[in-house]
Formats: sequence, structure tokens, C-alpha cells
Amino acid sequence: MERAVDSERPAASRPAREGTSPIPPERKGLVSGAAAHFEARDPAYIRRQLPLMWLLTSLYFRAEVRGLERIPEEGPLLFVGNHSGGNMSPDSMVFMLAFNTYFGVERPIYALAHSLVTSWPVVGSLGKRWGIITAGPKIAEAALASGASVLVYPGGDVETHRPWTARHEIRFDGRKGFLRLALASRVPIVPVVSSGGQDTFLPITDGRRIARALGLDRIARLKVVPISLALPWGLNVGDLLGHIPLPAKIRQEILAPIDLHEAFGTRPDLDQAYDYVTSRMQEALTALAAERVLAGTV
Amino acid sequence: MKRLHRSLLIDREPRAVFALISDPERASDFFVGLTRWEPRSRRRRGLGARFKVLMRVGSIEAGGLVRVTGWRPDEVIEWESEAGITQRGRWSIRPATGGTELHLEIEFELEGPGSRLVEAIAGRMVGRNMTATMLAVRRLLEFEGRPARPRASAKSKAKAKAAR
Repeated sequence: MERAVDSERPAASRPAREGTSPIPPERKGLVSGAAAHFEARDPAYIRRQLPLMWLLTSLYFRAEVRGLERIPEEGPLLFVGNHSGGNMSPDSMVFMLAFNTYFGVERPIYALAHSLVTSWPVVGSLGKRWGIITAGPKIAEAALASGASVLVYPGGDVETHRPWTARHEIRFDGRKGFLRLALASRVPIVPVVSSGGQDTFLPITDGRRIARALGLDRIARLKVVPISLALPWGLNVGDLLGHIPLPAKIRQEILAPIDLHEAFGTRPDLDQAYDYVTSRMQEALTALAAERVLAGTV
Repeated sequence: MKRLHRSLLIDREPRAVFALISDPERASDFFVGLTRWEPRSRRRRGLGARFKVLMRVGSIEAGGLVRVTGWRPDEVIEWESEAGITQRGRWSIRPATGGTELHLEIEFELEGPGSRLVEAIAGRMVGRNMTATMLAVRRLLEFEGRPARPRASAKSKAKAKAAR
């Protein structure tokens, strides 16, 4: 496979910071969520929530989702997305609505989320009924093995809190767990590219240095302490309580599936595969961003 | 439950109208807003045939699996949802003075909070699509289905007269 050689590599393909896992082994079970709550996904509940979600996505975010016809009709898939909008990211809501209306609530799909999201008293329990489960490789593998599809945002908190000036960047921060997951489960990756979420507030900095200084990496698996301007707080530090997102237009495109074994052979080079997937997504995001005439509106 | 109904007079025989609207291959040519009408059963036409049906409504494509529940050639086609959005539809064809009266009826039902409001908003979108669909059927049958006969010029009329 030929790849473009560029001395200035785009942010999307920067290599990961090398190092061991920041989570102590004794906390791993707690952080990654021992109980997956697969059975908590409630198709009847999802069906009842679809009208409200439709109102929010169609009228408030004027969402546009394209390329759903590229999704294979059957079998488990690993949806890999970029996301924006801080802790109130509209991207997963838009995709989950689109998937559930396109294929029907009967086709199971789970979305991986940070344990802080799934452990919230109300949000966590409602999220579980939508199929939101605590992110973790074993849980994701189990979900795929059960025949369900999984939605993952490899960039996590680093990506969703990136500064507004980097809003058109895929920022996976070198995380390759999604590739290992797809290879181990032998499922295709389906990229989901979203644009517009970072216009729902004004992120100033992701505060990575602050997070490192406070040791949040070790304590709560948090790599950022984002500082933004957001409703209703004004200056919003941490975004732990969320915020009211501004009604920015959200565009989403589902790309053609990528079979890693087919594209890179039986023992794929993860760096190469990472560059390939993120490059494909960056190209699509740049094209979507070009459609934005004025931030947040059209 | 949202019920929608559109009708139009088409200057063609019922058989021609039925041949077009019953052809799954041509559904995307005339059914405005439809993003998919794909056979999901060995039987591609007639009673019992199943289709995956999707229509763009606002931010999403909604629909599901439908089954043909009524089929009377040159008269009626009815379908009902088996999965996805609860819906029912019906094409009916009636001979009329000046051609054929074509009726399209669609019913759909949502549940949960906000469902009545969404039915009203989405109903307007689906209704507009249905109106455009009727116009598309008429355009295909009256203007594009059969080439219009060219008007005979005075010169060709004289030629024909001479030939007789």
C-alpha cells in the first residue's frame, strides 16, 4: 500500500506517547467497569425515546447523516468515530438515532463511554438502556462476540475537549486499542466522521498540563482539565457538570468499512493501520468542514 | 397515529398506472424522499413480498421492513410494517373520466414523549413527499412513458394526402 510521505505529519497521525498504562492494576477492574450491563439495553425504551431524539437532532442541531447505506446489513461491526462538544457531545446521540432508525432498534449496538459517564446516577442508568457501556477491551470484545456492533471514540476526553482552533482535526492521541479490538474480534472497522460539535461551545484549552500536574491520569483516567466558555456557566472549568450546547449544525458521514486483515495482511502493522484509518477519517472531516460557511450555523 | 392521503387524476389506463407503481425497480424513480425500497424476499411482487423501506425525514432515514398485505392487479396494493416504524400504506387505482384516479394513503405511528409533535412535523414532510410522488407518477406516465406524437405539419399533411 502506498502512503503519502510528508515531513509535517498531520495531527491525526502523530504517534502515541510511549509508556505503560497509567491505571494501577488494583484499580483497573473498577475503572473499566466489571459489569458490562449488556442486558440493560432496552429496545422498547429506545423506540420510545426516538421521537424526542429526532426533535433534538433535527430541529436543534439540524443534523445530517450520510453514508448509512455503506454499513453492512448484518454482523457485528466496530464503528470508530471522532467526537466533539465536550461532555455534552451531540455526535453519539446523532449516530445512535440514525443507526436505530435505519436498521431498527432490534439490531443491537453498544456505545463505549468513560466510566464517569456510566457511573453518573441518572445519566448512567438511562445511558445503559440505550446500550452505553463502560469502555474496556474485554467488554467490547464480549459485545462483538455476542453479535452486536460497538461504537467507540478512541480520542476520548483528549479529542472531545480539544481547543476550538483544532476543531477540524481527528485527534486519537495515538490510541490503537480500537485496532487491536477489531483484529481480535475479526470485525470490520466502519469510520464515522462528525463535524460541528466543537461549535456547540468554545473550548479554549484542553488543560493537559493541569491534568498531569493534578495526577488525574492515575486517579480517574482523565487526561485533560478543559477550560471553555459555555452556557450557563460562562467560564467552564472541567465540564464535569456538562453545559448547554449551542445549536450548531452537525454533519456526519459514515465511510466504507475497512477490513484490516484484507488491507494489511494477516499480521497488520498497527502504526500503518492507525495512519490509514485516521488519514481516511481526516480526509472526510476536512471535506465536511469545507461545507461549513459560518461556524455553528450552516 | 398520523394519516395522510393524496390523489391525482392521470391521463392513462389503470393498467399502465399499476404497472409503474407495482414495479419495485422503479420505486426510486417516482417515490420522492424514498432512499430505499429493496426486496427482502424471493417474491419481488405481489402478496407477501417483503421490502426494506426507508424515507429521509429530517436528520435521519426512517422506515423498516414492510410486507405486501393486499394486491389486486390494476386496483390496489397495500403494505404493513413488520419491523421498524409502525406504518401502513395503500395505493388504490380507480377508473375515472379522463383517465385514472390514483390514491396514495400512508399511516404511521410513533410512541413515547414528543411523539405527537414529531408525527405532526414529520407528517408535513412525508405529506410533501407524497404530493411530489403523485406528480412524479403523472410526469413519468404522461410525459416520459410514451413519446409525444409530433404534430403533423401542413407540408406533411399535403404529402400524406398526395400518397392516398
